[in-house]
Amino acid sequence: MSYAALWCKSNSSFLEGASHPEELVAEAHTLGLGAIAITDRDGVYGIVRAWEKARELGCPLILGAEVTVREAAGTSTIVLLVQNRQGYAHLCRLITAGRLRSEKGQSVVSWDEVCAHADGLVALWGGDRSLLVRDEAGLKTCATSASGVAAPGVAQDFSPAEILREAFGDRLYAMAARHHRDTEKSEEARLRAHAARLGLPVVAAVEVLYHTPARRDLQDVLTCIRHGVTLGTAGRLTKPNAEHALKSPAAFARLFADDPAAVARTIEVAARCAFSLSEIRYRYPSEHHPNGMTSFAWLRQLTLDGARRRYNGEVPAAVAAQIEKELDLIDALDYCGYFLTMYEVVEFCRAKEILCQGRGSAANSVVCFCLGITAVDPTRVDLLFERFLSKDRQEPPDIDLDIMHERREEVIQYVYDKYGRNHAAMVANVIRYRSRSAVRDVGRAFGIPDASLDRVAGLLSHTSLTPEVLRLAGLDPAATVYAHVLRIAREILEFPRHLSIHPGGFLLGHEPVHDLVPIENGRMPGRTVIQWDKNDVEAVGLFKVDLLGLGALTQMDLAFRLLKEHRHIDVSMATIPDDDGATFDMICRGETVGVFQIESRAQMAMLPRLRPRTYYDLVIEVSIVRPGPITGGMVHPYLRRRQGIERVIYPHACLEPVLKKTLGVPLFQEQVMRIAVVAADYTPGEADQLRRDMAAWRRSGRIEQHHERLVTRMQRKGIPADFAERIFQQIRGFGEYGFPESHAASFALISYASAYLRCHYPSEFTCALLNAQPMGFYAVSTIVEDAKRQGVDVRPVDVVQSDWNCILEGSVRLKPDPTDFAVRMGLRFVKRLSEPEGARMVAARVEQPFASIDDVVRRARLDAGAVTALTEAGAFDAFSQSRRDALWNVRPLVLDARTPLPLLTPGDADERPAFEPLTPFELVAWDYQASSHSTRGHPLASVRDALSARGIPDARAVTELPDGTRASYAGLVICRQRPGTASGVTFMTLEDETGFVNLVIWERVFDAFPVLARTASFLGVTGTIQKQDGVVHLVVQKLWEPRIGALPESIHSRDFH
Amino acid sequence: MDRLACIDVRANHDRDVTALTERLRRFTPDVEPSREMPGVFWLNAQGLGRLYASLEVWARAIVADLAAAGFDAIVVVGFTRFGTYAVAKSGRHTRVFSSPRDELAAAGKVPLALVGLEPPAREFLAKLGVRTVGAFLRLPASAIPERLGAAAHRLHRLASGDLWAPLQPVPVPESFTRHEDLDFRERDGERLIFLIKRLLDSILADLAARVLALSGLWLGLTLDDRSERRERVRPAAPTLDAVQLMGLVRLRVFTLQLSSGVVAIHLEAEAERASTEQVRLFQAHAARDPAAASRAFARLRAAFGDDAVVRARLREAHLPRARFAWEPIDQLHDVRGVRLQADQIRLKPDPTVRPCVRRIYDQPQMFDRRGAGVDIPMQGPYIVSGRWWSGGGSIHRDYYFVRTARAEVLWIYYDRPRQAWFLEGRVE
Repeated sequence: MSYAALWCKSNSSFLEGASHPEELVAEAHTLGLGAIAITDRDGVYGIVRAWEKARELGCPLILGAEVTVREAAGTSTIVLLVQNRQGYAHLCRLITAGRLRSEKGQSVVSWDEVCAHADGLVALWGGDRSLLVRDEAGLKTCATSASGVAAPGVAQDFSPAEILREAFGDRLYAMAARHHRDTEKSEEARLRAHAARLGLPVVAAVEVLYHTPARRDLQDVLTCIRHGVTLGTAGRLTKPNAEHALKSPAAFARLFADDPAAVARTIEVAARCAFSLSEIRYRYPSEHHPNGMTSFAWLRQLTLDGARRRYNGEVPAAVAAQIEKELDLIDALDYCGYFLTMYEVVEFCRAKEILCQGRGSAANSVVCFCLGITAVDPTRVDLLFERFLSKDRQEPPDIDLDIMHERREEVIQYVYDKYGRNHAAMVANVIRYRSRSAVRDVGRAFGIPDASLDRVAGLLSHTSLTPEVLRLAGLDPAATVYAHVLRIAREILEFPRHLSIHPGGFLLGHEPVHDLVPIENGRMPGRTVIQWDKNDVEAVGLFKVDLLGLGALTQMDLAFRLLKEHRHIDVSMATIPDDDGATFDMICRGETVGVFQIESRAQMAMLPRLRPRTYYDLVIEVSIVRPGPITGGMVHPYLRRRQGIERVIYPHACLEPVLKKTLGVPLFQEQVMRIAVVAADYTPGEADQLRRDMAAWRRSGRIEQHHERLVTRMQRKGIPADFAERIFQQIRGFGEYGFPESHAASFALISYASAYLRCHYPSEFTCALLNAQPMGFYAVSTIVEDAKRQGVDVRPVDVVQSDWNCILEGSVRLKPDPTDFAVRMGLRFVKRLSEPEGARMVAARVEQPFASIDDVVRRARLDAGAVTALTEAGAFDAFSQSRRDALWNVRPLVLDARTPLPLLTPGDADERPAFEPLTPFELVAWDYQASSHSTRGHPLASVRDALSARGIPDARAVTELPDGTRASYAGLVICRQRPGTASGVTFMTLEDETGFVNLVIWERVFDAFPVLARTASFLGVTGTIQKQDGVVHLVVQKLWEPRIGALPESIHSRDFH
Repeated sequence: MDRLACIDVRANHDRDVTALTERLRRFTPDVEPSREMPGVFWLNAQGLGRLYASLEVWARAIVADLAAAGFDAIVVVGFTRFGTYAVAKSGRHTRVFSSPRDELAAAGKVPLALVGLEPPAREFLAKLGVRTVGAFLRLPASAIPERLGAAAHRLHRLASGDLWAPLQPVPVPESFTRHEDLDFRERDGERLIFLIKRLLDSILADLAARVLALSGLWLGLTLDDRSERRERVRPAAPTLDAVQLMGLVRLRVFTLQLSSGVVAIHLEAEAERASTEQVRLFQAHAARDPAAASRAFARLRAAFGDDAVVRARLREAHLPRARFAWEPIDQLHDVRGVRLQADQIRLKPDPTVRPCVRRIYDQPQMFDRRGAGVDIPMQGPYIVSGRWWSGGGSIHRDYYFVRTARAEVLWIYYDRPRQAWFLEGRVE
């Protein structure tokens, strides 16, 4: 006889369940269970994954949750299963109520609330934490509200049994759960006694926490992590045995051999719970429009108005036709409301002068362009509308809106205000275990000291968790405890750890969102978040509005404002000249530190080879340094054809229209889809399925289904087999990290605008870039050094001059441009100085200039920490006191940070000791220590003589060495990268006071110097110069530690991102 | 100026301070161990250059003696506590300074990190370029407290000689011991008791004169066959009550199985002041007399040994045997915190439940299931498995309650790793 597992918690019961929802469903299917219920603790986090798997396997799935209820003392639990759509909405509402009143990670509801949401739900009352296993006195609980306050007029000595029976009727079951625990016998006896008295049928269950007993060890560790204890001290927090796995029907029948009726009743319960997520019918919020217009009419009017503005009143016929085609499709798919929402958000941004720009596949839509959502004219770059919206697929459009990150919160709160908290909530981002967090948490559960775990984690930035890593960290992987740590840490990878908020995804609904999915509090004040992530939302077919923060737009906005303020130049993204030769010259030289999307070391190396001269070249540049083209072997053919070394040929005549703009080489996701259509006879719908399978290939391997179809059909059309195979490899690459042309087209606009500013207004560019931090690829110190190399006068933090942000000052340097400005570093870069303190300083200075350190401290009401930080950063240098003297004078505050700084008395002067002045090296070191950068010099400048004496050249000299020269070099590591596409090669960039040196480190070399390669901040290397197309690399054969003095400790590289 | 020596013993000497102090007394009667820095000792060296060939010879003799005892030590002879201490901390060799000026110069070069300055103060001074004792001393003393705190100020005063403290040698400890060699082999217990009482009375008189009470008594007996017995009795509270103490001694003596007659008696008393809490113990609650209970505990301990009086403490664990632990109790107030909660008291016993008592054996016993006539379990299995992470191997036990052919109810388990049955206890 089969049975239904009615009480199963997946790993979406955070740090409790030890199997993925999919694993539970798959095992239930393999065991031949009648059904499986996913009942996670106070949530439905895992049900979408379970539902997808159940749909794939044809396994009956029941949705539900284990709900925590407040009692007079402590809490108890009850399992609720969903019967129908109404029941699902009730469950979501109940959990929402419990979550919103509780701290993050907690939930509690009252019995009254459970009963109020009973319709459409089946209740299973049992398990070791339920009231029903307690004795008569324990069953009586104080009738309380969920906040713990007794409900007025209700007897204190009150049992919820009666109201539950009244609310649920025959849908209330007593659940007898068995796990071979010694206390279960008496608990079950009490449960059965209560059930007999109340007339409740008994249903059999096991509290399933993992799909196989092999996961018991992991479950123990998860329990320890959850409670912050070690395995040795966990006591009875961990389960006593491994009896919480899914059981086969035979084993389950044996377990309840004394009560086969209770087993049969599981099937009865399952039969009552027929709800599936596919029953969710989602409606986008609809609104009232001017003059009673329909959403479609209003959208059409706005689009046509926009088209006239975009095309200066003369809309080309092709564009007009495309508009009508798109509008018809949007109307047919009932997506008008969604477009109008995006339009309103953009209009809000425009009205508030918040820079924003649509990206992603929305750039394929001329309607989006006309509505001002995107900035790219899709007809100008021949973008594929079907990539955005297709009749063949039942999938909502995806419009991502980039918003300058500094002001994104305003837009988020606008959406909350407009739709209300019940109709708008942010999408979750489930934080999952990665190797570092896994080894830390698992190691702690084993009682391993944090210092040891830090060492292991420090070595894990790019490698997987292997015995070798433990060995490098000084631990013995053969020891029993470390072997366990290694095993469990690998098992826990990809397990959910906690819920976070998606960077900007909103779920909007015509019906309340809490009828679709429970809502809970985010950690950030004012944020509410749903229990599903973006993949879940997409899988259920819900609409997500992405409002993403983009630092580059903040930078652009700040730069435009600086230009207007200081040079009276009114410029915007739309008015920047789009064919500026000087800008492209700079780009071709690879001088792009701080330029959006083309600043990484790999992009910089590509620029002199690709030599972009047009906007569309930048679109290609943005796209080409990606896993898709690289793994597909498309990069070098494209470069050779572009340089005229190789002839442009097309594998088949039918592909010429598709590949013409990329010289016969497919570089974009859209091109791959079009190839599938024209060369392999895919329908547009099939092509889109291909795209979706590409995105999902890592999870399900669905892409393999296309292999034979694509290759065979292409060969049948006369396309060479090797080309067909390469196309398929590229599809795989895109699956790993897809980058559509429309996306690149939107990004390239910002790339070009930021490059233009860097080229012509480096001071404004640098000032804006610094004020937009954190963003981009490089640390502040690298940005400052790069600006100095461009000739920008960067001045240190100074309490007499600096604002909180960096500002522009008139430059006294002799420059080609007499109107050039210097950048004054802002107080924001002084560590340990808070923004309110900085604001008070600036406000006090506006009233009256500061006369002394005492004056600053007194009027800005600074505490000891702030004064010390400013002193060490040299911000008081203007008062003609050395930093050491100032530090000595302000020190009394440090011992009591709460007291205001006492003013120095005249007598103190006699007591002042004389300190040695700081050396130039110490000055730079103090700068780095206090503010992570120095305008006074580069840390390596002070040791240059020592390096030169050892024959070690600077970066500028290295780049001038001929190809094939053997060379040694020493510099600060500013980034380490080991892309998956590079066959184990690690790329590093080293910096000194003259520039960068790019290293190529083969795997065997990296492995020969593992600790230095992974952790050194000041690194010496020896290797061979490789020079090609103006790009210089040092191919490393040996790594070494330069033993030349001490460098500032606060220099950090950007590693393995 | 008086001569002073600082000795820095570089070893794990936490437990050896007393022994080292005793050892150093061989070289001078005045030895002061540092309370703040275990391992540092100051010795009065005044005049010792005349007893030895020179102070250098004296210092080397100390080093050699400590080395023989397994300790690596540095001896610095000079004029000030701080100067000798700083040089001892930084040096590698024994040194004897001939003038305070030389000592000051040497101490000035010592890094601040070596003289016990707290890390925050040290880091702050390092930022100012102040890294040695000399540079530290150049800072104005009056500016130190508000910038570096009281500890640094004290160090500054010590270093500058501003804070002078005379040597505070440890006094020779008093001993409350009595010894008597007997002219005969005493085999009679009563006579032995009287002999002990005479010695004990003498000790109690000494203690009373010093306003102390006896908290423990070591009783040493040397037997005719050269063997030794050493026993300890403890009263419920420090006391000078000879009757109570002799009662305890009597209980202990009469439990001893002596292999031959006693030829010597040695008594050694532990003394302390009686606390007010202990006084209260004898005053509280007329109906229940905790003091009497404590005295009863003491008598039980005297009769059966120190581990005779224990209580069970519940522990959070899965294995039945690990769910409690026996722990000794000295006083009744140790168990006063244990009070039954109202909800733990079943006022009306459930008539349907027959109360049973599970007796757990000291050690599980191998169990012959067939021999005991056990076929069908009454209850079980209750499975306990775990400790998979420990190096000692995992456990997996299936517990059952079974009825034997003789109608006994036994508590047994099958140990899967060992593939054997064990008897855990029985139900009565």
